[in-house]
Amino acid sequence: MLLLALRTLRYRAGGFVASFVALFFGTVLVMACGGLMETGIRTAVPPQRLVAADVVVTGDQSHPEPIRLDATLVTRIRSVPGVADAVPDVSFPAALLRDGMPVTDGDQQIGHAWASAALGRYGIRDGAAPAEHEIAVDTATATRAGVGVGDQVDVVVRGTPARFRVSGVVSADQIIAGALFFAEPDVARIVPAGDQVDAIGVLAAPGFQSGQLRDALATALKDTPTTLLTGDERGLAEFASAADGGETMIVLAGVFGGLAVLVAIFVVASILGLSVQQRQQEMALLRAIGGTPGQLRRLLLGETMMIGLLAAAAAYPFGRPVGRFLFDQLADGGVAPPAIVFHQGFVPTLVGSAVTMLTALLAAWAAGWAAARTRPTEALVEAGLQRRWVSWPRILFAVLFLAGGMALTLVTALVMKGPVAASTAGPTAMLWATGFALLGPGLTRVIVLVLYVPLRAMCGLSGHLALLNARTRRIRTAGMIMPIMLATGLATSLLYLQTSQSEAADRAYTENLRADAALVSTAGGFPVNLVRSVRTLPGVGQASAVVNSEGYLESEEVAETGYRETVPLQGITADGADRTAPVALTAGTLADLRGDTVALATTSARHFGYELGDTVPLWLGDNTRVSAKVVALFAARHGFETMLAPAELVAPHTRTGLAQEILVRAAPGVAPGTLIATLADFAADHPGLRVAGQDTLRSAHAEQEQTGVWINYLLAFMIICYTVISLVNTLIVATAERRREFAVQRLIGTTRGQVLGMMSAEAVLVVVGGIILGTLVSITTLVPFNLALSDSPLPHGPLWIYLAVTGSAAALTLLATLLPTLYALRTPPVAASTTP
Amino acid sequence: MATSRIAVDDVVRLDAVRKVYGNSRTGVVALDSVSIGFRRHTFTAVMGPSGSGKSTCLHCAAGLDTPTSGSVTLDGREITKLGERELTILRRERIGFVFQAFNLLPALTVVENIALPVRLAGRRPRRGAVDTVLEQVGLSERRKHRPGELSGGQQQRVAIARALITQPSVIFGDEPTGALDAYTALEILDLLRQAVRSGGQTVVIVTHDPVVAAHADRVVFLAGGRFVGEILEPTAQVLAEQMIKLGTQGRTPAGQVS
Repeated sequence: MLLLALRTLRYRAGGFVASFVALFFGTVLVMACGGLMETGIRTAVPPQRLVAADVVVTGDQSHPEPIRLDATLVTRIRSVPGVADAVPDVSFPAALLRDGMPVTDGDQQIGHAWASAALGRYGIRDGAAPAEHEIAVDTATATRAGVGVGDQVDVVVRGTPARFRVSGVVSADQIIAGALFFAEPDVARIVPAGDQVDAIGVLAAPGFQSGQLRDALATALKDTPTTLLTGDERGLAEFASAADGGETMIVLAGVFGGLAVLVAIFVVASILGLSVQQRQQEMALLRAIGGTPGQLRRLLLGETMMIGLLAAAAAYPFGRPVGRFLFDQLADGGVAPPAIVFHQGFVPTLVGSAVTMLTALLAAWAAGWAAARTRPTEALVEAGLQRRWVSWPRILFAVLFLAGGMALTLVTALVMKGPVAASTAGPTAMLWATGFALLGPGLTRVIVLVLYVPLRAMCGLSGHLALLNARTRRIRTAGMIMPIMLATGLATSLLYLQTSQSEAADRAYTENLRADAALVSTAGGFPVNLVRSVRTLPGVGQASAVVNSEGYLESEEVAETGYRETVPLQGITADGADRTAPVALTAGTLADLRGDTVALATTSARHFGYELGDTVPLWLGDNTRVSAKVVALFAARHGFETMLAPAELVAPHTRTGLAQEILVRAAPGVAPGTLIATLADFAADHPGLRVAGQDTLRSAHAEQEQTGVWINYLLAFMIICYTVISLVNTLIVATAERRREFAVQRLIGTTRGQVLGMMSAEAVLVVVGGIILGTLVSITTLVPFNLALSDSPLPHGPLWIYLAVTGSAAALTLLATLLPTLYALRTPPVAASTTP
Repeated sequence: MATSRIAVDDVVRLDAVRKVYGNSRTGVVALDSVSIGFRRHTFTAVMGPSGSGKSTCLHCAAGLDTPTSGSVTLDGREITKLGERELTILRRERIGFVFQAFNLLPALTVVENIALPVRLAGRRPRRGAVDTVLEQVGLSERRKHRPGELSGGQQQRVAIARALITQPSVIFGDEPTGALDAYTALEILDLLRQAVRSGGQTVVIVTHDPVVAAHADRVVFLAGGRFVGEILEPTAQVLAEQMIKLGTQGRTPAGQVS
């Protein structure tokens, strides 16, 4: 059978191009997604500023806010054998100003103690180490600020402006982020918790490997809650968001890689099904002269596996670049932290190839059913027309897939809530599509019936012929309709899923936005008590500072599973919160947010069984547990639940201990414009602050949403492209084989125009059928998703997406049908009718 | 009802074979209690007008199709009860086929096409076996050609060579000359006769052409799904007259002819 498979492959190379292309692109996608996943799993973050440390000691890194270390550990570590030195690292937000504006990204914690410069192998370029009231600046930042040694500079340190003298300019290799180094006495004043450090860089004594050092430290620090980082993990101590980004990448890669595999199986199976159809006579001849059903199945399997091997080999050089491209897009889009190093080793390649082979195997197995059921007598007739397509495995699988689809649809609608529902939507679409595809010939019959009258009326004889063709060659027609269904169904689902989700997020933000304006930090935050000064400004009605963090409520679920689903936890100052906080209160008042208290979303409260006045176990960002009294309840949309707690309670448990914005509401009778002008004056006196009106806040929020969203569009777009390529493929294959049929028609006097007319009518039939089914498929995902998200079954988003999707499907189908038809018509009919 | 004589050394025997297509109530009766035997080392032609059931008869005799009732015996072995797999193996080992068209796999060369039944059985063709049959059909010069490069007659010869390679008990032909011109058809028929005379083969073909059927030792007539008679050592003229008679009589059963 292997010989026969090889020979057939060589002889019918053209016929296998379609399967090859489908498998090739599928493999590239899976390999690339594998690369993203490997990168996410490894989360290799090479250290920059801590590069000289052989081991970096930090607190537990698995919480939303980093946990600091006791400064006394430094001396303890120094006494461990093998340790040459232990250098504490303290970082805080600091922004160097030029004309009152920060020259560096305020969110970066670029203020450090001078001692830690050794960890980054900084060398002094010019000047000297900083003494009190002095700073050392790295070359890039110095250039940007236009300062040099001896200059007096303004620096916003932890939200408070101060004046320093530049003592020196320093530089280090390979360090991208800027750095401002402060002298010890200044650091002690700046950082309130002087007895704590962010991390400790440990340098090995000569002759000690980092592994040995790590073991020694592990033993010595056994009784402390420390984490030891070596190698490429060390960067995690510098880039706090890297670990989260890695997880996001794992999820993204898993969802889209999985979808790519499903699409590949679907597409290759349908292409193979079509090719078995076309080779029916060959299969029947083999059966007649003694080929067993098993041998036919093996023949098909052999052919497909060989194509799979070729496709995997061809995809190999592309897997990595495409993975890298995707990663770069993720990094640019802010989804993946740029500090992570892209890693695509042999595992994704191996997995990608294995998945391709498995895909080929599954598809060939599915198509093999049809091949094996070929009756030997079919070799004796000119061309088998109608074939039985109903078989018990087919019906069984169709029922299984549809039942699965139904189950997922229900789960999405009833159980899932909020944006998480998106994770079940993709698989739901695939299940329904596969179920429909298995019942394809039957559905085709219905579609032909439905379209019979309009198509006859519109296209006359061509329409009549097309309908006859579609009816008698139902399996072939179904084979053409199904990829169109998949393409339109997936495209509509994936795109509207995104638009609906963005819409919901926007709405959740906008409908709760009650502040007239906000003061937003551009220098990494400011002390919470700045809000007091704001309150005294003329025209200010209420003002409340906001500290952003994350936290969760303790519950039996958490205790049992160990899985903590954190939600945004906002620390707000109680005065004026009722009128400014972005929530719609249903019970209690935010004015009571003092001491150990919390305000919960009504849905969360119901979920955990809490009521107003109850005391709940609240876990703050750095894993501190407080017993907080519920003082208020507010309405929140599913999936957008937050918790509110006093800013004074939350702030000490965040990385910086600072507030990020102050929400302000105008006093009665004061126009928002006046208020914004007042606030602008205030911001001018306080470097590191910026004023935002409602519109600015909204657009800033939308922009923030957009970073995550467009990468989803990109991945969805790739899946859609893949489906489209397969669709075009299938249509070309299905049309090209009809050369002889066209020739016979032309011999009996059909003009080229009439043949084209017939094919156009067929294309219309196929595309309308595909769009109807595709729309059904997308309804099965979009309706439950939107029910979960917003209690309305209709997806949100512009209608033009649907029109564009269906329009492109129609245009592509017509092109992919008519161009091969034109090509086939080029051969003189006599020649075409005699050569097989 | 006429019944063909059934002898002990029949290679293939049909006993009261009935074949209904579709369900039993609305179905079409293609064969109605047909009993025919085909003797070893003979060349038999099955004739009949269109729709007489001659193709169905061949399919049932060759194990390509299963009768609704009745029995088919090949080499003394009842094949009606065999499963699909066993039937396939039986076809592979004991039966050769020559069809009207699309006899060969276009991807394989002449030699590979001929060796295919042996390969399907999981064996390698014996050395010289392919050469022998190639020589028999006069295509030794065309070993490496593909079907597309051969004329219709040559393709049919390859099909005969493929049928001969397994030394089958019987070779079935379904209008084997149907797509060929008169001269080429004659060559093919000569080859089949030779296989019977000197090769000791048994050949059964289905045809509606009296000139073709005249090459057979015996012609069996079917009409309306029933056995309606036979002629031994026929001439084309007698056969043609008989066919016209059957044609004008339509589907009414004819009496025994000779």
